[in-house]
Amino acid sequence: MSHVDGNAMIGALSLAMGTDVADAGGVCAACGLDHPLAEAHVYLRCPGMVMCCPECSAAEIVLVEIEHRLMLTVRGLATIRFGTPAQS
Amino acid sequence: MAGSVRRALGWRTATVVDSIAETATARSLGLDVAAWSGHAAGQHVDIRLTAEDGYQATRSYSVSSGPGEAPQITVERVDDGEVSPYLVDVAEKGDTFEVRGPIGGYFVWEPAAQPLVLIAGGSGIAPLRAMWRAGTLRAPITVVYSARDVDRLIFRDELDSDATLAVRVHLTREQRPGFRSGRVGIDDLNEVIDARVAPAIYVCGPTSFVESVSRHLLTLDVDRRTIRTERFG
Ligand SMILES: Cc1cc2nc3c(=O)[nH]c(=O)nc-3n(C[C@H](O)[C@H](O)[C@H](O)COP(=O)(O)OP(=O)(O)OC[C@H]3O[C@@H](n4cnc5c(N)ncnc54)[C@H](O)[C@@H]3O)c2cc1C
Ligand SMILES: [Zn+2]
Repeated sequence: MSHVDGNAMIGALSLAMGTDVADAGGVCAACGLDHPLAEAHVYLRCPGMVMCCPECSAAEIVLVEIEHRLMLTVRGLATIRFGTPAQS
Repeated sequence: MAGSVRRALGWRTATVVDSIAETATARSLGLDVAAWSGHAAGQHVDIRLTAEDGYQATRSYSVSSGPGEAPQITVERVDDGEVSPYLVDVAEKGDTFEVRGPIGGYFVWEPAAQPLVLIAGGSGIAPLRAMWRAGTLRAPITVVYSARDVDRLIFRDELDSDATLAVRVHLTREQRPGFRSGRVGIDDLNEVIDARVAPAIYVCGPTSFVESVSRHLLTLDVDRRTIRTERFG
């Protein structure tokens, strides 16, 4: 199954977290890669979505959305950073 | 502000107010969304359909209208798909469904003087149209567009008539004068991308198309930070 970009999960994730995570970043708990969530790999299997590390493919976030219920599991991120990162 | 952020995060009702057949397999739907606060070029919306038995399906669609214009999506039918055949063949003016968005800050272009290269496969042209409609005369814009055959070209008239765009169209399953035949290759990209001027590059379409173009761009030593991708799956 082919993946889409983290960007595809930002809508549901923003609703789950109660804030816009379009610019958020995360640190993979498995390999330590620091990356924008929008650049992760996402596998869509409606109603579930899995966000994986773009480097080591470890599952970072699992989100299930059914009607108005959201279930969020964030086992694979050591850190989530909100707000715009400094531009390099 | 907090109120409008929360409203944009949640589901709202969209009403179809306009319906344009772009090709035999693609359609643009103009949407009326209460309190739509505008969008940036490249953003998408999530659309959720609910069947009578309560079954729901959610898919993402890019906004194909320019910033400042009313929201519009452009959908290519995937033949045995759950959602796209409804949007292309069944939805009519007055129909409603749930919508969330506009979403995203990564695959977004803010008008700038920097040259812009837009590379699309199939329906991947949708968010790129929002970008060229946001363009200013200051930014030279090149569009590289790949489709199966000439009948699958979405926005063909607009691409033909907009003199501010440098357009190259590839047909992968048809040979025709005036068009390139075959997939977008390294040489094709090398012709339009001058790494010295560091253009902003946006690549959008089916995942296999985006992967192949991105690999070519990296081979050409394009700085990966100047490349933004949107995979449609
Ligand atoms: C961020 C984002 C933006 C998108 N923007 C657009 C857009 O502007 N216009 C647009 O037409 N689509 C867009 N898509 C794709 C769209 O979300 C759906 O995946 C697509 O319409 C197919 O949905 P479906 O329910 O009809 O098919 P499904 O029921 O999901 O799939 C049916 C079959 O088709 C295959 N399939 C799924 N998607 C595709 C595809 N894109 N091409 C070919 N085969 C596929 C599946 O593997 C499956 O076998 C976007 C996707 C993302 C992630
Ligand atoms: Zn990792």
